[in-house]
Amino acid sequence: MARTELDDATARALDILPTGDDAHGDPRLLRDERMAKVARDVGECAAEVWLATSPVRAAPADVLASVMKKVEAEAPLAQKNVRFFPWLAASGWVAAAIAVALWPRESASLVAPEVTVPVAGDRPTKAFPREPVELDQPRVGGQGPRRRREELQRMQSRLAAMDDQALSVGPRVLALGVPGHINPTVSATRQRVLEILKSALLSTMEAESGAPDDPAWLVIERGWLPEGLVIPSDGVIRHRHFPESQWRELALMRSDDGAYYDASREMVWVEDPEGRGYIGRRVVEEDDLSVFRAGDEVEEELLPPMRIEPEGYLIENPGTNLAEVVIDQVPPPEPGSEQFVVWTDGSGAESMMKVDHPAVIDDQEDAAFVPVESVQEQVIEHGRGHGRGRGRGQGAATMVISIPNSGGVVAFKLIERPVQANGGPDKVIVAGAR
Amino acid sequence: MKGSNGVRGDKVQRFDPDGQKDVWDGTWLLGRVARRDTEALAQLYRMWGDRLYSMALHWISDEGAAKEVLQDCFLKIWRKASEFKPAKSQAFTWCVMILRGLCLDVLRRRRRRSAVWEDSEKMPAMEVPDRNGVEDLFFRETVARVRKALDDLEPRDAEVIRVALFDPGTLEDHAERWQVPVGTAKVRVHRAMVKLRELLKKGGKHGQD
Repeated sequence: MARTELDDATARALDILPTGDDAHGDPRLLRDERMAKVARDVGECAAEVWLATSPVRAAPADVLASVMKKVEAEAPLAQKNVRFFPWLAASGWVAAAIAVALWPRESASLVAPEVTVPVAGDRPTKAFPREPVELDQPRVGGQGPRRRREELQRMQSRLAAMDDQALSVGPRVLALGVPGHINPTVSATRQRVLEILKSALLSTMEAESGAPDDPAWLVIERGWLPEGLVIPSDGVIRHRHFPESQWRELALMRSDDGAYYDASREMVWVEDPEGRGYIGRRVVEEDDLSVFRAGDEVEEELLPPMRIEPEGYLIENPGTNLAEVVIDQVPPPEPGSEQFVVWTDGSGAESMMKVDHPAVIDDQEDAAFVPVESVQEQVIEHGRGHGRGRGRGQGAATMVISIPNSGGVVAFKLIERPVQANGGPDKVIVAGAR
Repeated sequence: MKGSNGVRGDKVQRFDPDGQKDVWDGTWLLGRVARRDTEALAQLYRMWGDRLYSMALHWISDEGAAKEVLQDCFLKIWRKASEFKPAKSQAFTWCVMILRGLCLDVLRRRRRRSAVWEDSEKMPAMEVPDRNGVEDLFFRETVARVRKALDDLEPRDAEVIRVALFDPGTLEDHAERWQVPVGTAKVRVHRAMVKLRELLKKGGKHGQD
């Protein structure tokens, strides 16, 4: 072991390394047991000297009171801090959908419409068409990446076209779950809607891979940077599926705020605020690399439990008489079965419409469009895992369905039944009622 | 530090009648703090608040700033207690390092505003002050070992350690002060720290009261 590494370990432990010193980002100083021991010994020696050489003074009593006051005030504040605003800036149609979903009915007038609605259309990198759309026209359901993208563009336009007055009426949110489910709390509902929509957005981004306006020098879909790759000093790399779960194996270092540092390539990776994976760039002088810690310094995260049950939300806007349904983790139908949505409006009338699961549609990628009468189905994504720690059932998909002229939906369900009636009951995938 | 009791609370090492040394070395309290136990944080303050405040005051020589640093230190302990790993550091050392980082921030901010540290005389003295007969019960042995180690340290090494431990500058500044390359300054600090460690260890084995 080179002598200089021990010197580095000492200097690092004392926090006296000069800015820009290579030792700042040297993962060996953290991983090597001998280095770690040097750092520990240096820290303890220094602490002993500091302790012994400091004349003893009583700590001011008011500091304790102040600390306790702040500490006790912190917990409720943290709970109130719902982090969804960054997503509003992430994309057009998702932001619009979130604006609809989260619009507070009771206090709509307290929220300035221009705060939320313009964000939906202010996506900087994509100029979606803003032409008015006919909400009441029967739609044609089409699939395939190009068709899905078009569908999303239409959806974005439709949602962005909602005027302030319509929004201010306030949406109604109906939670959908497997039979026997317990309705989630308001805050849990908000969180889940955001998760589902974010997941859908990520999928959309995948469908848009190769976007001409992406400034990235290199776009990586999966895997890791090849050895010997020379990255221009001002080059930016986008990684669409950054291997967060393998950061230890890749010898990366991680910061508390979820950024990664690749010491071997002198690169920093940060999450794209627009939701398109991670962006990598070369380290610059302003970077504080001391915030990154190696794998053995960071405890394993307790990942949220895998959620495989389907669940969803029906978001109805009385102003436009439009209901948007988002259902996550929809399993593909059993062979010989079909899936239907069934809803009851405020007058008690029941409507039913067949929906096509993406797993089925993908097998018919180039099949002719099938007209439907009153349900618009948008299949956003399927079969791919998105988001940290979340798994998906085999072939499970997220569905987004629009129901024009919804008329005040009081009950909604997604069911599955055999193509050939066998007299058995329908299988209810999700259901909800007011 | 192997072979010595370190700064974990000498009283415990001597009296530990019920095997509860973790209570006194702070590990147990930090574990409770990590579980958001506010009372444990208050206990930690009562146990170590005096020492941490004394150090902050010694470093930055400003009562107001020292109070602020002490407060920030305990807030940081509250927020980061879950990151503490007993296998990697003693609880007291971990807290001291948090305090030290905060003090360095204060000193480096000041340093950018004035040349206060160009006058090395303004750096805190590295000598164990007279306790005027009042023994620090918890850390009595640590204080004795440090006193002996500093007495035995070569003056040149003592000065290197004093600069490394009390000057808020980086090795670049120290190298300039000593008129040597940064690499040489790095080696100098490391070697002096190794010597200090050996002396502290020796004091731990042979120099106890």
